[in-house]
Amino acid sequence: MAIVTYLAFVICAIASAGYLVKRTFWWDSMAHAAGEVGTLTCALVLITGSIWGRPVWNTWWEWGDVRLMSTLILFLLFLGYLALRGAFVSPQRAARPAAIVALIAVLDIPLINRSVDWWENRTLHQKSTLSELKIEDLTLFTLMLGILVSVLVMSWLILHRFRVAWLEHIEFEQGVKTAIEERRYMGHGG
Amino acid sequence: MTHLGYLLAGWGLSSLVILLYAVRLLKRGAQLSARVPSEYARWMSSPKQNNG
Repeated sequence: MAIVTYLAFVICAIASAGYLVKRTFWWDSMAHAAGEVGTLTCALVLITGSIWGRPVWNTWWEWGDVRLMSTLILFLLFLGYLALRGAFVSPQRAARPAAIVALIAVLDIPLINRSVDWWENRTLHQKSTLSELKIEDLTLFTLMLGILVSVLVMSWLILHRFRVAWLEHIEFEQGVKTAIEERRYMGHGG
Repeated sequence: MTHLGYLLAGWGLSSLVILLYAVRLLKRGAQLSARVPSEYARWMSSPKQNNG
Protein backbone atom coordinates (compact mmCIF):
# COMPACT_ATOMS: atom_id res chain seq x y z
CA MET A 1 0.00 0.00 0.00
CA ALA A 2 2.87 2.38 0.81
CA ILE A 3 4.54 1.69 -2.56
CA VAL A 4 1.25 2.39 -4.32
CA THR A 5 0.90 5.65 -2.36
CA TYR A 6 4.39 6.80 -3.39
CA LEU A 7 3.62 5.87 -6.99
CA ALA A 8 0.35 7.83 -6.98
CA PHE A 9 2.06 10.92 -5.52
CA VAL A 10 4.92 10.68 -8.01
CA ILE A 11 2.34 10.52 -10.85
CA CYS A 12 0.65 13.55 -9.26
CA ALA A 13 3.98 15.45 -9.17
CA ILE A 14 4.87 14.52 -12.77
CA ALA A 15 1.40 15.58 -13.96
CA SER A 16 1.72 18.82 -11.93
CA ALA A 17 5.04 19.58 -13.61
CA GLY A 18 3.38 18.72 -16.93
CA TYR A 19 0.61 21.20 -16.14
CA LEU A 20 3.07 23.98 -15.29
CA VAL A 21 4.77 23.43 -18.67
CA LYS A 22 1.78 22.69 -20.92
CA ARG A 23 -1.05 24.44 -19.02
CA THR A 24 -3.67 21.99 -20.29
CA PHE A 25 -6.59 20.54 -18.43
CA TRP A 26 -5.43 16.97 -19.12
CA TRP A 27 -2.32 17.33 -16.94
CA ASP A 28 -4.20 19.10 -14.17
CA SER A 29 -6.90 16.44 -14.14
CA MET A 30 -4.35 13.65 -14.00
CA ALA A 31 -2.57 15.39 -11.09
CA HIS A 32 -5.86 15.81 -9.24
CA ALA A 33 -6.88 12.18 -9.81
CA ALA A 34 -3.52 10.76 -8.70
CA GLY A 35 -3.37 13.16 -5.72
CA GLU A 36 -6.79 12.11 -4.48
CA VAL A 37 -6.18 8.37 -4.88
CA GLY A 38 -2.74 8.76 -3.27
CA THR A 39 -4.25 10.57 -0.28
CA LEU A 40 -6.79 7.78 0.17
CA THR A 41 -4.13 5.05 0.06
CA CYS A 42 -1.86 7.13 2.33
CA ALA A 43 -4.64 7.24 4.93
CA LEU A 44 -4.96 3.46 4.62
CA VAL A 45 -1.19 3.09 5.03
CA LEU A 46 -1.33 4.98 8.32
CA ILE A 47 -4.41 3.14 9.63
CA THR A 48 -3.45 -0.40 8.56
CA GLY A 49 0.14 0.25 9.68
CA SER A 50 -1.21 1.15 13.07
CA ILE A 51 -3.36 -2.02 13.16
CA TRP A 52 -0.28 -4.06 12.19
CA GLY A 53 1.92 -2.27 14.74
CA ARG A 54 -0.30 -3.15 17.69
CA PRO A 55 0.40 -6.93 17.76
CA VAL A 56 3.96 -6.64 16.37
CA TRP A 57 5.36 -3.61 18.25
CA ASN A 58 2.80 -3.56 21.02
CA THR A 59 1.81 0.01 20.18
CA TRP A 60 -0.78 1.63 17.92
CA TRP A 61 1.32 4.74 17.30
CA GLU A 62 4.77 6.08 18.17
CA TRP A 63 5.18 9.86 17.93
CA GLY A 64 8.98 9.62 17.93
CA ASP A 65 9.15 7.26 14.94
CA VAL A 66 10.57 9.22 12.00
CA ARG A 67 8.99 7.04 9.32
CA LEU A 68 5.55 7.30 10.90
CA MET A 69 5.86 11.04 11.34
CA SER A 70 7.21 11.71 7.84
CA THR A 71 4.37 9.60 6.40
CA LEU A 72 1.85 11.54 8.50
CA ILE A 73 3.36 14.79 7.17
CA LEU A 74 3.01 13.47 3.60
CA PHE A 75 -0.65 12.68 4.25
CA LEU A 76 -1.29 16.13 5.73
CA LEU A 77 0.50 17.84 2.83
CA PHE A 78 -1.68 16.09 0.26
CA LEU A 79 -4.77 16.67 2.36
CA GLY A 80 -3.83 20.35 2.15
CA TYR A 81 -3.34 19.92 -1.60
CA LEU A 82 -6.92 18.62 -1.96
CA ALA A 83 -8.27 21.33 0.35
CA LEU A 84 -6.52 23.97 -1.77
CA ARG A 85 -8.12 22.56 -4.90
CA GLY A 86 -11.53 22.63 -3.23
CA ALA A 87 -11.07 26.22 -2.05
CA PHE A 88 -11.36 27.66 -5.58
CA VAL A 89 -14.67 27.86 -7.44
CA SER A 90 -12.96 27.60 -10.82
CA PRO A 91 -10.75 24.50 -11.26
CA GLN A 92 -8.51 26.46 -13.63
CA ARG A 93 -7.59 28.96 -10.91
CA ALA A 94 -6.71 26.17 -8.47
CA ALA A 95 -4.47 24.32 -10.91
CA ARG A 96 -1.28 26.42 -10.65
CA PRO A 97 -1.00 26.77 -6.84
CA ALA A 98 -2.00 23.10 -6.44
CA ALA A 99 0.71 22.01 -8.88
CA ILE A 100 3.32 23.95 -6.88
CA VAL A 101 2.12 22.39 -3.60
CA ALA A 102 2.26 18.88 -5.14
CA LEU A 103 5.83 19.43 -6.34
CA ILE A 104 6.89 20.53 -2.85
CA ALA A 105 4.94 17.77 -1.04
CA VAL A 106 6.44 14.97 -3.12
CA LEU A 107 9.90 15.85 -1.79
CA ASP A 108 8.84 14.13 1.44
CA ILE A 109 8.88 10.70 -0.27
CA PRO A 110 12.68 10.27 -0.48
CA LEU A 111 12.82 11.46 3.14
CA ILE A 112 10.36 8.73 4.19
CA ASN A 113 12.28 6.13 2.21
CA ARG A 114 15.70 7.04 3.65
CA SER A 115 14.48 7.84 7.18
CA VAL A 116 15.16 4.29 8.46
CA ASP A 117 18.81 4.63 7.40
CA TRP A 118 19.37 8.27 8.38
CA TRP A 119 17.71 8.01 11.79
CA GLU A 120 17.99 4.28 12.51
CA ASN A 121 17.78 4.79 16.29
CA ARG A 122 14.57 6.80 16.01
CA THR A 123 12.32 4.29 14.30
CA LEU A 124 10.63 0.99 15.02
CA HIS A 125 10.74 0.11 11.33
CA GLN A 126 13.35 -2.30 10.06
CA LYS A 127 15.90 -1.23 7.45
CA SER A 128 15.20 -1.85 3.78
CA THR A 129 14.58 -5.53 3.09
CA LEU A 130 13.27 -5.31 -0.45
CA SER A 131 16.24 -3.57 -2.08
CA GLU A 132 18.70 -5.95 -0.41
CA LEU A 133 16.48 -8.97 -1.12
CA LYS A 134 16.54 -10.21 2.48
CA ILE A 135 13.19 -11.94 1.95
CA GLU A 136 12.28 -15.61 1.57
CA ASP A 137 11.21 -16.63 -1.93
CA LEU A 138 7.55 -17.29 -1.08
CA THR A 139 7.26 -14.05 0.91
CA LEU A 140 8.88 -12.14 -1.96
CA PHE A 141 6.45 -13.70 -4.45
CA THR A 142 3.47 -12.80 -2.22
CA LEU A 143 4.79 -9.25 -1.84
CA MET A 144 5.29 -8.84 -5.59
CA LEU A 145 1.83 -10.22 -6.32
CA GLY A 146 0.37 -7.83 -3.73
CA ILE A 147 2.21 -4.88 -5.30
CA LEU A 148 1.02 -5.86 -8.78
CA VAL A 149 -2.62 -6.17 -7.71
CA SER A 150 -2.43 -2.90 -5.74
CA VAL A 151 -0.92 -1.05 -8.72
CA LEU A 152 -3.70 -2.36 -10.98
CA VAL A 153 -6.39 -1.29 -8.50
CA MET A 154 -4.74 2.14 -8.12
CA SER A 155 -4.55 2.57 -11.91
CA TRP A 156 -8.23 1.73 -12.23
CA LEU A 157 -9.12 4.25 -9.51
CA ILE A 158 -6.97 6.99 -11.04
CA LEU A 159 -8.45 6.35 -14.48
CA HIS A 160 -12.01 6.64 -13.18
CA ARG A 161 -11.21 9.67 -11.02
CA PHE A 162 -9.70 11.24 -14.11
CA ARG A 163 -12.90 10.49 -16.03
CA VAL A 164 -14.98 12.17 -13.30
CA ALA A 165 -12.71 15.24 -13.37
CA TRP A 166 -12.99 15.34 -17.15
CA LEU A 167 -16.79 15.25 -17.04
CA GLU A 168 -16.88 17.87 -14.27
CA HIS A 169 -14.73 20.10 -16.47
CA ILE A 170 -17.09 19.65 -19.43
CA GLU A 171 -20.10 20.34 -17.23
CA PHE A 172 -18.43 23.49 -15.86
CA GLU A 173 -17.55 24.69 -19.38
CA GLN A 174 -21.12 24.01 -20.56
CA GLY A 175 -22.48 25.96 -17.61
CA VAL A 176 -20.24 28.95 -18.37
CA LYS A 177 -21.17 28.79 -22.08
CA THR A 178 -24.90 28.68 -21.28
CA ALA A 179 -24.56 31.62 -18.86
CA ILE A 180 -22.75 33.71 -21.50
CA GLU A 181 -25.38 32.89 -24.13
CA GLU A 182 -28.18 33.82 -21.71
CA ARG A 183 -26.45 37.14 -20.95
CA ARG A 184 -26.07 37.87 -24.65
CA TYR A 185 -29.70 36.97 -25.32
CA MET A 186 -30.89 39.22 -22.49
CA GLY A 187 -28.64 42.02 -23.77
CA HIS A 188 -30.09 41.79 -27.25
CA GLY A 189 -33.60 41.49 -25.91
CA GLY A 190 -33.21 44.75 -23.97
CA MET B 1 -7.61 -9.92 19.75
CA THR B 2 -5.57 -12.59 17.96
CA HIS B 3 -3.07 -11.85 15.18
CA LEU B 4 -5.64 -13.14 12.70
CA GLY B 5 -8.09 -10.57 14.03
CA TYR B 6 -5.66 -7.70 13.38
CA LEU B 7 -4.92 -9.12 9.94
CA LEU B 8 -8.58 -9.37 9.02
CA ALA B 9 -9.27 -5.90 10.42
CA GLY B 10 -6.53 -4.41 8.21
CA TRP B 11 -7.59 -6.23 5.05
CA GLY B 12 -11.29 -5.74 5.73
CA LEU B 13 -10.95 -2.00 6.32
CA SER B 14 -8.76 -1.48 3.23
CA SER B 15 -11.08 -3.50 1.00
CA LEU B 16 -14.16 -1.70 2.29
CA VAL B 17 -12.71 1.80 1.89
CA ILE B 18 -11.43 1.09 -1.64
CA LEU B 19 -14.74 -0.52 -2.62
CA LEU B 20 -16.79 2.41 -1.30
CA TYR B 21 -14.52 4.91 -3.09
CA ALA B 22 -14.79 2.93 -6.35
CA VAL B 23 -18.60 2.79 -6.10
CA ARG B 24 -18.72 6.54 -5.40
CA LEU B 25 -16.55 7.23 -8.47
CA LEU B 26 -18.74 5.07 -10.71
CA LYS B 27 -21.93 6.69 -9.42
CA ARG B 28 -20.55 10.22 -9.86
CA GLY B 29 -19.29 9.33 -13.34
CA ALA B 30 -22.73 7.99 -14.30
CA GLN B 31 -24.47 11.12 -12.92
CA LEU B 32 -22.15 13.44 -14.83
CA SER B 33 -22.44 11.39 -18.02
CA ALA B 34 -26.20 11.89 -17.88
CA ARG B 35 -25.82 15.67 -17.41
CA VAL B 36 -23.33 16.50 -20.17
CA PRO B 37 -24.23 16.42 -23.90
CA SER B 38 -24.17 12.90 -25.31
CA GLU B 39 -21.09 13.55 -27.49
CA TYR B 40 -19.10 14.16 -24.32
CA ALA B 41 -20.61 11.37 -22.24
CA ARG B 42 -18.05 8.89 -23.46
CA TRP B 43 -15.02 10.71 -22.20
CA MET B 44 -12.49 8.87 -24.33
CA SER B 45 -14.12 10.19 -27.50
CA SER B 46 -14.39 13.81 -26.29
CA PRO B 47 -13.49 16.36 -28.96
CA LYS B 48 -9.96 17.74 -28.85
CA GLN B 49 -10.98 21.38 -28.39
CA ASN B 50 -11.90 20.61 -24.76
CA ASN B 51 -8.40 19.38 -24.04
CA GLY B 52 -7.09 22.53 -22.48
